[in-house]
Order: sequence, then C-alpha cells, then structure tokens
Amino acid sequence: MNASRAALAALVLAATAAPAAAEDGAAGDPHRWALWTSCTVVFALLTAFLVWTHRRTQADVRRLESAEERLSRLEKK
Amino acid sequence: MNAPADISHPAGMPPPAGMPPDDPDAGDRGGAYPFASAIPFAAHAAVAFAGVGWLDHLIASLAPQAVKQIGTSYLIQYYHVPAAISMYLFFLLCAVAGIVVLATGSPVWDRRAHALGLTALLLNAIVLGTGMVWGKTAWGVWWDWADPRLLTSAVAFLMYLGYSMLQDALRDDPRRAKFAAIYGIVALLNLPLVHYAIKWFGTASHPADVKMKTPEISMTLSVAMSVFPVFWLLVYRWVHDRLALAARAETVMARLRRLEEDVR
Repeated sequence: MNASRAALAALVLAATAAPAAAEDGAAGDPHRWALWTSCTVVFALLTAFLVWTHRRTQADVRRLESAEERLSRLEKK
Repeated sequence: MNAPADISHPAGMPPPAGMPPDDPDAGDRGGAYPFASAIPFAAHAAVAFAGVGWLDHLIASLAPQAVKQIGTSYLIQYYHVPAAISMYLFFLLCAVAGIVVLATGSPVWDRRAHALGLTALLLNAIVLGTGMVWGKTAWGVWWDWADPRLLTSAVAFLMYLGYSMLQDALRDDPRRAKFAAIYGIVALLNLPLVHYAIKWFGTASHPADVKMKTPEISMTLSVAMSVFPVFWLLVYRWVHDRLALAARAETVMARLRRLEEDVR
C-alpha cells in the first residue's frame, strides 16, 4: 500500500462514518454520534494529510523527470 | 503515489549518464530513490494493520460490557489516548533528531526530524479533533479555554505548525536545518506542560487520568498504545520518503543548473 491508496482508503472510511454520525445525531444518541463523528474526523485528517503528501511527491517526480529530460538534451549537445 | 521507477536506478549500480552519483544521504535504505525497498515497506504495513486488526478483535470482545458502564463514546479513548502517546513520542524523536542534526549536520537526520515533526503535527490535530468531539459529549462543550490540558495541546499544535512553516519558508536557506533543529528542541519544552498540565495547574474539564474500569479495558488500551505508534511510523515513512525524493530533485536540479552554465 502506498500513500495515495491509503488516502483513498481513509477517504472511503471517512465517507462511511459521516452518514452514521449524522444518523445517530438525528436519533439523539450522543454517545454513538461522538464515536462516529470522531472516526470521521480522524479519517478526514488522515486523508487530507496523505493527499497533501501525495500531491507534493508527484510534483517532485515531475521536477525530476523534467530535469532528466533537460540533462539528456544537454548531453546531445 | 507510484514509485518513480522510470527515473530510478538500482541501488549500488552506477547512475545513468548525466545523473549525479548516488548520495548516501539521499535515502535511508540504501537506494538512490525512495520506495526502493518494497519488501520491508510491505512488512511494516502488514505489522501495523495486523496490530490494528487484533485491537479491533479485543475491542469487539469487551465492548458490550464497557458500553453498559460508560457508553459507546468510551471507544474514542482507544484512538484518542494512543494518538496522544504517539504524539509525545514523535515530539520527542523530532527533538532527538534535531540534536543529532546540530551535532553532526547530517541531512538524513534533518529529513527525519522534518518528517517526525510533520507526523507529530497530524497526530496533534487528531488528538485535538477527537478530544473536542469527546468533550462535546462528556462536558457539553466543544472547547474550554480555562482547561490547561486543552490550552497546552493547542499551543503545541501552533508550535509545530510554526515548525512546518519554518521548514518551508527557509527551504533555500543553508541555515534551515540548524534553525529547524533548534526550533524542534525548544518546542519539546511544551511537552511536559501538556502532560503535567492537570497535575500542575488543575483541570476545568479534562479528567486527570482515565481510570480503567476493568482489566480487559486496561489491556486493550495497552495494546492500542503499542499498535498505534507502529501505524504512525508507517505514515512517518511516507512523509520521509517524500522529503528524500524532494532532496533528490534538488540535487539533480542543482547539477543541471551547473551543467547549463558550463554549456553557456
């Protein structure tokens, strides 16, 4: 598993927990609402962090690829 | 986040023409690029997720009894408290890595300190977020400014947010590693304040210590506190690999700039 797949898994878990939290909140069950809401918070934070990590990694990969192309052109000269 | 296989070369092998030679500081696991060691990475992930699975089993086996005593929301403690313990651990390791950076100037330890600080920041956000939700149920308020534990935890979050911003702001400054290391060590001074806030300053809302009702709950919490740092080390590793890749990109770009100047 890498960070992008972990981010997707965390997002799915957050999306699963959020409706349960809303449902328990509407039903007036504060304990279950707290449990599901905190699960949503954890997975949402984890998702945001991993997506941020993934996006910056992809940017670094693009920089490396671009540099390699320019190096290759320089060698041909 | 796929491994950049198209731009890497095997560890120990000479780099392709035009590429800089292998930098022993470019990665921690001997490879020129991150994600080079897939098997240890998978083994780490397997241990982390197997541990969480075992924890789930323990929680499921004792939940009905504890729910009768406390209520379902008590399950939050199984990730709120371990997240706080992991946060302490990462704050401490970040400062230790900073001390090594100051002593040796090692870029590897600089990257480790940076990744540890970022992971600690995420953990701090999780501790605050889950604590607020729990507080809303337990005390009826999302936040209590009069509570020293909450206040010192929020200060810790702002301090490590500052640490992250410092790392980005001084990205091209050669003094960045030194300043960040000193900041990480100084920021650790807040850790005893967070931990002993209730003992030293009293409490408005947050309980001094969560008293375990049964040996089963105590044991499950111990398992949670053992397993979660393993998972967060996995997250740390993802962050560290990204920083290693960024450092590699910087090295290649610097070499490219020098070559372009030579060509002109």
